[in-house]
Amino acid sequence: MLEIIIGAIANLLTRFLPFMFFKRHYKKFLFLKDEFPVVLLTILTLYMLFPANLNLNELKYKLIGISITIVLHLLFRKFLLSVFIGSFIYILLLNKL
Amino acid sequence: MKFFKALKDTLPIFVSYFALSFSFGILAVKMGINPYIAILMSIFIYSGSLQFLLLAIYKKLSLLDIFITSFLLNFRQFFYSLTFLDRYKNHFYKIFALTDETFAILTHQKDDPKYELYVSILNHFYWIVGTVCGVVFVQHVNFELKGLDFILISLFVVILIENFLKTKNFFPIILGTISFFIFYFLEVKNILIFSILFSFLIIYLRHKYA
Repeated sequence: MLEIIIGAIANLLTRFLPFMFFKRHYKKFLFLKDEFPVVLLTILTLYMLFPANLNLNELKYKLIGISITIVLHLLFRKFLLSVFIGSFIYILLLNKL
Repeated sequence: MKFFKALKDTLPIFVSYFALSFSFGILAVKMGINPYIAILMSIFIYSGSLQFLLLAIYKKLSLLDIFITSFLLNFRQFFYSLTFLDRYKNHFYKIFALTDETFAILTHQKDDPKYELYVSILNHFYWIVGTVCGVVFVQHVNFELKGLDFILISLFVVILIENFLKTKNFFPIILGTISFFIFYFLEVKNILIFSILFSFLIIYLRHKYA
């Protein structure tokens, strides 16, 4: 529960900080604007792909799911389609349906 | 009339917000979050990627790590808020409700406080309704499915592709991958924080000396 409140506060800060303090100093942070969020997303994606107790079979399915997501997205660029079909295939594989 | 324009403009968002928050509601309950907490998260956090991420990390990381990761994940919102600094003055709710999609709609429109408010409220409303439906659905339809949390991974992958197609910049993806695997193979306990700090340092140095 506390974890979620902490996450919520961090989130509120990202939205309200500019209105509270950074009206003058924000230029110092602009260098983070373009690349850093992408770096972070990459790290988080890998973090979820490679947990400490790595299961190779699951990893294989995940890579299949991701490949499908990537191909679909490059072909159609429909956000929902790529996310849900990729996940759907992964869930099918994982549950051996 | 402005309300109907807002309704029309946000219709595509309705589809994606509903589908995502519906999945969020299901996953949250499946992962042992109290249904009311899940709904409160959608009301007071109102950020898809962060809400999914919290489900993935809340049992694993320390409070400080959760704070840092959440803050940095949504750091882009900092720049949305900056962009709207003059436009929004100190309208508390509109600042809070400035998500990626709301920003995307409003950034191409002229100043119009009423319209901005409608768009913000409607999107927020879709997000909450989807969560409530997901939470209710999972309690009435009993099913066992492993792997629903994969949605977060494919969500992030799609955001990464979109970003790459826009910027054609491989550097951040390579930097993130290298930082992660350095600490992964070193078997550091706190991979996430170490790799984030490491890549932050690299970006800082590159900015300063390149």
